[in-house]
Amino acid sequence: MSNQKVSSHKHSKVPFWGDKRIPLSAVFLSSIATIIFLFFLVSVLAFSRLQNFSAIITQLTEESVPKLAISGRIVGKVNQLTYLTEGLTRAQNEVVRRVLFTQLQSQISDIQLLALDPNADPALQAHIQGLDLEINELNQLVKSRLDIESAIQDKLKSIYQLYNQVMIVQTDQPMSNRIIDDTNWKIIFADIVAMSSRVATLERLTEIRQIERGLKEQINKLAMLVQGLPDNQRNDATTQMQLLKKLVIDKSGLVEQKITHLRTKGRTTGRGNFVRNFILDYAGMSEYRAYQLNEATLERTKDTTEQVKRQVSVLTTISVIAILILLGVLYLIQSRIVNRLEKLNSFVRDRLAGRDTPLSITGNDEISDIAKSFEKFALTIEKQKQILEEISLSDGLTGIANRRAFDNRIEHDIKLAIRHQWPLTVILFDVDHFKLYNDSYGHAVGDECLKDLATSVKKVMRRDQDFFARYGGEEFVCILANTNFKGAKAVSDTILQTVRNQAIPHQKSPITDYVTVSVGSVTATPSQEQNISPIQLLKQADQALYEAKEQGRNRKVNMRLQ
Amino acid sequence: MRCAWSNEKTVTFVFTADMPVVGDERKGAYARLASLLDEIRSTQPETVFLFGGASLGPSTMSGFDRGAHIIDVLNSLEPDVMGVSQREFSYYEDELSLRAFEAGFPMVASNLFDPLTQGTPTGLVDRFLIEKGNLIIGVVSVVHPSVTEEYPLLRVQVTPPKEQINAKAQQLRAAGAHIIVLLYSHPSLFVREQLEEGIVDLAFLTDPDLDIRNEEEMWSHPRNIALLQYAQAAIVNCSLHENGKEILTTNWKLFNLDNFVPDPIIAAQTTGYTMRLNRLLDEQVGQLKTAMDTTRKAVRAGENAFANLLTDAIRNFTEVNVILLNGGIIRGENIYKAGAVITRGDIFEELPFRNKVATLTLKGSAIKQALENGLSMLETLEGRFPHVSGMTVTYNSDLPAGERVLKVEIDGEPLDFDQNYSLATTQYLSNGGDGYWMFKERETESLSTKFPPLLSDIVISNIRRQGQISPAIENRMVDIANRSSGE
Repeated sequence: MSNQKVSSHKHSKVPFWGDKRIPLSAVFLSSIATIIFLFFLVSVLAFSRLQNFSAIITQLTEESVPKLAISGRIVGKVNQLTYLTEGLTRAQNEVVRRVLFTQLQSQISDIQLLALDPNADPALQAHIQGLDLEINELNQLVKSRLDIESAIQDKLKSIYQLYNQVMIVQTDQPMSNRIIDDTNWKIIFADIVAMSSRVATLERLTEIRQIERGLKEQINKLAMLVQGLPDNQRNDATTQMQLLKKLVIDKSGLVEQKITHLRTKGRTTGRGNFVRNFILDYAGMSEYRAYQLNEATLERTKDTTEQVKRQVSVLTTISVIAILILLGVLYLIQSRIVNRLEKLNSFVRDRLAGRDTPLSITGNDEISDIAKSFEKFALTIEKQKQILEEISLSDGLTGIANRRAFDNRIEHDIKLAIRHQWPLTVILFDVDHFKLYNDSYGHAVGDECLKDLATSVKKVMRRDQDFFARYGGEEFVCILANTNFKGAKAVSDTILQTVRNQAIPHQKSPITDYVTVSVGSVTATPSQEQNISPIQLLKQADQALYEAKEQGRNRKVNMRLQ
Repeated sequence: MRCAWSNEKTVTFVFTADMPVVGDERKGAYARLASLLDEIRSTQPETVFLFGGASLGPSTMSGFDRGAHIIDVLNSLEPDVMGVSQREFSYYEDELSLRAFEAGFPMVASNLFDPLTQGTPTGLVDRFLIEKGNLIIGVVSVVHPSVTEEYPLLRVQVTPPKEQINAKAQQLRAAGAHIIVLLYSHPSLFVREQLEEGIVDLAFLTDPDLDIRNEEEMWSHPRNIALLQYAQAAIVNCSLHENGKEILTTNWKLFNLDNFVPDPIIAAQTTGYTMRLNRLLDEQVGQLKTAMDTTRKAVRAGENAFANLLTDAIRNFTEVNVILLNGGIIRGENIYKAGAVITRGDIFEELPFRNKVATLTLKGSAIKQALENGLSMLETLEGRFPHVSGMTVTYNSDLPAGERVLKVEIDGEPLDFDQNYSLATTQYLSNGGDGYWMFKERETESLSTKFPPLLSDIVISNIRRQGQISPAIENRMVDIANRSSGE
């Protein structure tokens, strides 16, 4: 019957995993593997993201930021170089030149130090070396320009001195040393001096060359006029004229110096521009590199932020998925294992308590196996119990002998009575209105009542050969060997009395408030009746019991076998 | 040569120009020129040295000092006057003004107007009077109007040369000039008229690239002295009537400078510059694995390997869609063999203009216009030929200018006229230089806050990063006409 229930359940409810067998070991293994995998995945992902992030941060702090700092400092220094160079190029005196050059040198050595930094632009060292040379050469040029400028000033001074000597009348001098008094000569001399001072202010080579031609002509004129001077003045005039010529138009004279000055000045300006542009180019490039670096760093930071954001959302998603999967796994374990184990447990308990609970465990795995096995075992045990009871001689409830034992015994005791020619008594008794008792107190109390009665009546059987058994339901039977009619009456009375003494309450009984019995006995005497059958005995004992009941119960009726 | 007659005055002109590369035998034989000048000056008392200009740039050294070293060398050679020509604007007009203050000689530009000073740019003069003995020589010099297209000018405007010559010559005559001398650089026809009409007495033309350009037709006049080759000097003997008002004879002869022994002092000076350059620029930046040609025709007539290297470097640097540069910025005129070592100096020599990068956003239609402009003057080898990166262009040079571009693809996709593209070019082109006016009409986005880097620096760092480079012609600019004629 239980098997049928199991099978009917199988058909009525198919679990979501279907009918296919999924072993619990597989469920367990895959659940644990899933949990470990998810844990591993989330850990590895988080770790790799962290590594990535830390690499970016490291690069930012160890590479980009120092590079930015260095390039910023270099750009600053290089920019200072431009105006220092400009100042040096235009230096108007030695002091300015010296001060600016010293400043430039210190800036350059600062940059050289910066260039040694591993974060600096590798091309910087080469650039700065070239620049150092250029600035040194520029300084030399400025120096020579300043030298020429002061030489020109010196030359002009000498020319003016000579002019003063020639022009100013010095009365205390002896006649021979007095100045030349030829007016033409003096005019030309003065003209040469004037032209010379103009040369010093000119900025065009062509104009200087033009004046140079004029100067040469004037000097020639002067030389011719000297010939016409009086003897005492001629020597003086020649000397002074030679001196003037030397100061103005000879090699290293004023004109040549002025030309050299203009060339040097142009060269210096050109060189200054060159150096300045060289620096500006470098500044432009390094500033642009700094700009690019800055942009790249910004870009990188932006990327990092984006990446971190993305990673956070990826990690969150993965975590949520992992948690959902874990919940799923837990649900699976709960429904597939825990719930079914609980069901199995209560099923087993019910069965142990003797309740015939239907098997409600579905599925196809170890638990359903156990449930089915248990069901099978329980059925087997029930069957075996029945068989056992069938082959047993004692009554399960009262512990006294049962009907089977009685059947065996009566045959034996009849044979014994015939052999010994002694009387044999069989007493049957029955609880009065036991159905009412059961109805009012319940079967369990009824069972207790039967047990109490059996126990107390058993004590009445004093002899070893006396036999007492439960005949069925509330009916008991005694076989009393070697007991005559008189004895039968006595034992019947004792039984009646014993039960009354028990005083088991029986409120619904129409006889008394206590449990009573009706007793019927039959006594056979073998000498008279050669053929005694157990049926005969029982039939007549039953008849006696029936009469006792008819007479109003709670009494005895004793008969002799007829 | 002495005066044949007592009623004659003579003057000797030495004229040369186009010497932008100091120490270079072809384009800067200053030491040889010095010997020539010494020789003439020692024999001819009235020698006028006219320097026609076209020399302050572009060159590697000028890339650094904007031509200051040329002025320094010229200060030693003492020209009586220097004419301002197109190349003098290689580094913008303000740099030219600075050079004028370094020069010990006048720089004449008769047809320039600077709105800032409401006259000739500072430092320059619009005309000049030279006094030689008792002769007065008036000098006029004009810049060809194409300078505004070919060179970066910020403010200065070019006024009509013909009218300016007329006006300035008149002023010089009024100031007593006996001879009016004109310095100019393109064989403009009106000069012949002015010679014939006596407005100008002597015209000195310098145009050594005329044959390559083969743009204008050359004409001749007995008093038009034309230098049509590099490393040449003209020596002009001129005799005048005693009153100075009448030129009696003019004879002139061209001399090759390589016939003269270099003057040691000037040679030392120019070598000094070369050595300084080497000192700064001989750093090796990489090695070539393929051959490269940067001669004038190679960079102005079609796709070029060096130009590809250049545009790719800028594309890499700016990360924009396309690059367009004009061939005229490549000036090295060198042929490199595979395996050659590239120095900083080589790149500065190739890119002597101080060109800086500019980026702009513009519609596909403007890119098409730009390409048409770049291909519009293929015949005369103008510097506007477009070198590109990030796009491929198919064109037919047989078609009329303005209709030559047949197909343009950017990153494999056909050019979309309405789509916006980011383009990097030079600041010069972004200002509408070389006829690329469509760039000027777009708003330029500055690359960095302050100093956009030089093209040369970008290329140098690009080569340095790669170590070995193999620039090649990759069919970016495909001329179908060339192809069919070649087959």
